[in-house]
Amino acid sequence: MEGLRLAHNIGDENHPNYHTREQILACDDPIGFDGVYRNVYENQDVLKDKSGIMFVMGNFLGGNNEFDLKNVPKLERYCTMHEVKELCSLYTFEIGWHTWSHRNLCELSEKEIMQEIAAPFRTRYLRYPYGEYCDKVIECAKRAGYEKAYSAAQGVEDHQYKILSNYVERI
Amino acid sequence: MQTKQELEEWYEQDDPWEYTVTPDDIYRKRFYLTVLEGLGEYYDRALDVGAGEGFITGDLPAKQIHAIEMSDNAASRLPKNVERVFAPEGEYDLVLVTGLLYRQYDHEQIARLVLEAASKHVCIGGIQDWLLPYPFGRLIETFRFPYREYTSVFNVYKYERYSPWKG
Repeated sequence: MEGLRLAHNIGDENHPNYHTREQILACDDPIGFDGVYRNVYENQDVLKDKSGIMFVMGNFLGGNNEFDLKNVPKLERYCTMHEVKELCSLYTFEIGWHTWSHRNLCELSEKEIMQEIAAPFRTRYLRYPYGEYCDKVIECAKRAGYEKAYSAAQGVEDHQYKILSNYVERI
Repeated sequence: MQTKQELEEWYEQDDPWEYTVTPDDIYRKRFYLTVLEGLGEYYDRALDVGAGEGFITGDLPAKQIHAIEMSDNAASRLPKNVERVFAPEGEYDLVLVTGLLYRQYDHEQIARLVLEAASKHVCIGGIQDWLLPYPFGRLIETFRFPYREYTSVFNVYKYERYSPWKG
């Protein structure tokens, strides 16, 4: 998926992880939602005519982002698997994988990386936690059969396992 | 092949495989259950064949859960929401067999029992190099992940009644 933009929450918090409904509506590029947060499900009407990827984290499906509270302004819930699947069936979104525990893959052993990136459903897309990757992680992503792997870093890089993603624009 | 007596001795202690404290097994359980969640089903009736103490069984997404387990010691520790049965009681829309379709067990009998019981999804898990390739219908999903020093595989079949193994 080319030109995938990055987003997390849909809401009014003044924080990089939040985009307003208007910002999502104004985005003409595909959007990769990391999480996937429940506020995306609650604001799903703005996904009409949008496309992209819903990157889910296995250990947090139906749970919350307590593990990440030092980086985010408040506690938010994540969608359940059922809700993510519903979004993907109603709108032009595919399901992607954002690992089980959202640990930095570069700090793990090869076995741990392969466990983290083993998705419990069929998918072509991986998003690296914290956007962090290294040669070992890329090799594992290839071996696991991913077609594309995305970083969360800003910019553009022409390599299928280190695709950078710019945030959805803030109008 | 393991005798019932050997099995009872093995299960004299709680959790002899250390499933509940081994990260790879906790991961494996989460993996199975998330696959089932992804299938989007809440099953009417689930059967776990060779359930042990029910490490996975009690969390299966089903209204009614039956377990077949040879060891009385293991079965005495099954979760409260799981009913022990000695043979399938009718049909089950989810049948689960993990770590059992290996040469060291009575795999033919187990496979026959699965085919007798299944009506919809059959999930087979185990160590890739040990798992015997019984066809239980149409393979709709297959997953692999590192497990202890092995590769574990989890196959989801859509049971098909015309399977040559039935009967």
